[in-house]
Amino acid sequence: MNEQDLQRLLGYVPDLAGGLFYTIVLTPIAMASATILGVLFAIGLNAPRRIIRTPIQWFIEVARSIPELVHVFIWYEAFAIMGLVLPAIAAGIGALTVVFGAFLGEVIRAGVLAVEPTQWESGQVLGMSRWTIWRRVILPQALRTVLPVWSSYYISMYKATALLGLITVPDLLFRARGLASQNFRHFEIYTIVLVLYFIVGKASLAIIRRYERRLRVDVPKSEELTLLRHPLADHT
Amino acid sequence: MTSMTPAGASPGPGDDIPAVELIGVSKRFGSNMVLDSVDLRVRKGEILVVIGPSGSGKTTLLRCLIGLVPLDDGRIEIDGECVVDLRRGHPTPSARTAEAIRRRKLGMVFQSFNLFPHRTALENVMEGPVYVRHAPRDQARADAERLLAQVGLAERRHHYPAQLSGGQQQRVAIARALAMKPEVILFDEVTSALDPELTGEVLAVMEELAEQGQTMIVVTHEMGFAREVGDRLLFMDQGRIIEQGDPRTVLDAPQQDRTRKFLSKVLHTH
Ligand SMILES: Nc1ncnc2c1ncn2[C@@H]1O[C@H](COP(=O)(O)OP(=O)(O)O)[C@@H](O)[C@H]1O
Ligand SMILES: [Mg+2]
Repeated sequence: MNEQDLQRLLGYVPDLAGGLFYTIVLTPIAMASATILGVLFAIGLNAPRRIIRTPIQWFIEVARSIPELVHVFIWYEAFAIMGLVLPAIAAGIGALTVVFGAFLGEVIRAGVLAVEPTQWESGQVLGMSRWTIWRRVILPQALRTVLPVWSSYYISMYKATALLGLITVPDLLFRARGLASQNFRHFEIYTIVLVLYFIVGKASLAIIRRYERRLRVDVPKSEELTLLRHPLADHT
Repeated sequence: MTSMTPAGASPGPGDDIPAVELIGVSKRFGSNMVLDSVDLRVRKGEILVVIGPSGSGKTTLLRCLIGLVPLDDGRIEIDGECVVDLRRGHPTPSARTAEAIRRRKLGMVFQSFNLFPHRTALENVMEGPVYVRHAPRDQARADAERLLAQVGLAERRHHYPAQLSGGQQQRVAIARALAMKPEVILFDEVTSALDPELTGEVLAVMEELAEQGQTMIVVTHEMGFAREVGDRLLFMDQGRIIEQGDPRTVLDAPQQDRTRKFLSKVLHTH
């Protein structure tokens, strides 16, 4: 590679990095809303009444069996045909929220089941309302339990944002394809894409793991608490 | 049954209202009659000790009182306010009203401590005041620190439950209940899960509470505590109150066969 090549290569970086910005910003936003949805699903799945549980079970079942890309097209194209025209970014976030919310709903529910049932009673005899018990007692424990699994979903979400390039969100992949279709430098451009995705992915993971450890300090490593952790949590 | 006033308590207005009153309280699990038309009155400041064989309904009695388990029949009044009345032809208060009364008046300590594992001792004690009574944080913290000092755990306030011994955890649990300033505290075999050398520290805390005039219903197998601290001893079997009275009298000269049998078993194993 001569100097000219290198110059050209570096010339692509600002544009691509601009695309990377979308990826970096979209991931936490979509993950935050997916987590909120997952928590709501988990609470719904725990409802004593079937009328609440069954539809949620079905929704999760269906949402999980559909390819992520199909979700994205449904939100962007199918909804538009039905009259709900969403900006590409909103449609993308909506689609990823539903897919990941469905997965996280199951994960968080497992975390909820791993909380000692007597914790409910402790809250009740202090006079807590159901909602306060969820918020202050059950969810903090359940979310800590599933944190390692949640982190691996975070990375999956990061990767899944590349799908939004297919519905015109100007993310890293979208811009790379645009550039490549103009100058046919596919090899160089995708090398940069690969490197950028790798660096940001690695960095996100490192940050999350660090945060994970910080949060876990709150939960002492007693035998009892190890038992409280759901088997799913051991998968990362 | 004998009537008695806690030593040193001076009668004042409202003192004749029982802290807790049960009328004909029944509870069954399937065909198993666990509480069989129980009548019970607990005076303010009274220390009521409940004993009885395993499965006699002691835990269920406490759980019905505090609302963890619904009754099948009967009426419960707490500090003069009805929380449930399932007797035919009587109006029963709404679940919301009942809960509000119980929340203000009752506290409970469990055999298995059931502290919040993700919160420190101090946070465990502050949780109720801050998130149920909406007390200001600073005040709740000061209260919690005082209570932890009272149960001898001032230095351990920033420890998590898993970093505390069973006896220490149980004392935190008592402080957590006290933080809500309940009229009556229910203790369900709070020393049964502890190593014998740790029961003393928990019983000492309870004895101190008793001296301060805290109304308590104590389910226990600690006959020494029953004798020394209890104002009244109640023996239950098969969901019924078989015998009750002054602890020394019941322990030394039980009137009923079943009480005698139970006591001879318990006292022999101790
Ligand atoms: N949730 C429940 N479901 C079915 N049976 C129960 C339940 N709780 C208690 N019981 C039964 O009620 C009886 C009394 O139990 P309990 O009140 O725990 O007695 P104690 O505390 O005196 O040992 C026992 O026979 C027990 O098996
Ligand atoms: Mg019991």
